[in-house]
Amino acid sequence: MADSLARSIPSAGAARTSRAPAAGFDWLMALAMAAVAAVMARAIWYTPPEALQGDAQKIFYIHVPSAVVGLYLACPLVAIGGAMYLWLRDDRLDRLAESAAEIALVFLSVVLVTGPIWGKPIWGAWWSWDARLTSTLFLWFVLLGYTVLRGAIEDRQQRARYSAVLGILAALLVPFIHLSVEMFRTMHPQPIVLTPDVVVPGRSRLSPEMSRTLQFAMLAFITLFVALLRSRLKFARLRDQVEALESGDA
Amino acid sequence: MPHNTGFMIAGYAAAVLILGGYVVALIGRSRAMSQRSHALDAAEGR
Repeated sequence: MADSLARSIPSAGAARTSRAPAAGFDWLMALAMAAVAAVMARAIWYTPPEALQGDAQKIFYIHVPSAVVGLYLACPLVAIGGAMYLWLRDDRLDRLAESAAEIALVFLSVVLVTGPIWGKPIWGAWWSWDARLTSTLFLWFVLLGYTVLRGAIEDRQQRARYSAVLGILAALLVPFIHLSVEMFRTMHPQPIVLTPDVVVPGRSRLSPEMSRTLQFAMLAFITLFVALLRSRLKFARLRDQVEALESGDA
Repeated sequence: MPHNTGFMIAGYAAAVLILGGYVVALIGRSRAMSQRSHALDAAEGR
């Protein structure tokens, strides 16, 4: 029993003989938050407003990086962690999927809140039931269901197995969300970031200042994602150690 | 150019609230779990 637990919780054995590491100062998290704050300051005060949309367009610098991190980094990790767990039955992969799902939910919350605030002055409406917005909202609900499901199942292996399947299904929505603006007639603009126009010099639809601010924003939000994932994984590992000790399995 | 600075401020404030709130909640949960771990260690006489 102790051997199998030590394999599923790599440091569970260590927790029996030494205190769990105290939550110290997280330098990466501090750096990421400072970077996000700096990007926000640059976007608000040092990046020119778009001529037709005014200052509201500057929501772009938080809306787009949040969508990229939530959809293209966090959601694939949920699916990869879940699929690998179903294959290898390693609890570390379940913790990876669980952590990525929670963080995806946070970044998609930013997307779904900032989108309508940007849309109201530009479209004249807070919300439109078009394909991009509706499918993103649907993914948000599936991820919310994922976190609720995890809280509802007590058996560790059953919880990991069920949530792995749900996580894989949730991530299958991402390509659909990406292509929704091309497959359907929507109010949402066409992709700006993940297109060749941004990669090929001189073809960007953004001014150089706007492009640079967007690049900084992408970097800052990716750093924040890495910091959050690292911190959430640490928490999940410590929680599993404590639960194992409390149940007397270790 | 339209004057809609208020929407920009609202958007940034909402993002700060969501991201900042999550960071604070995560730090709080980690500290609480760390204290539970220390309490377990103390109960076992370590």
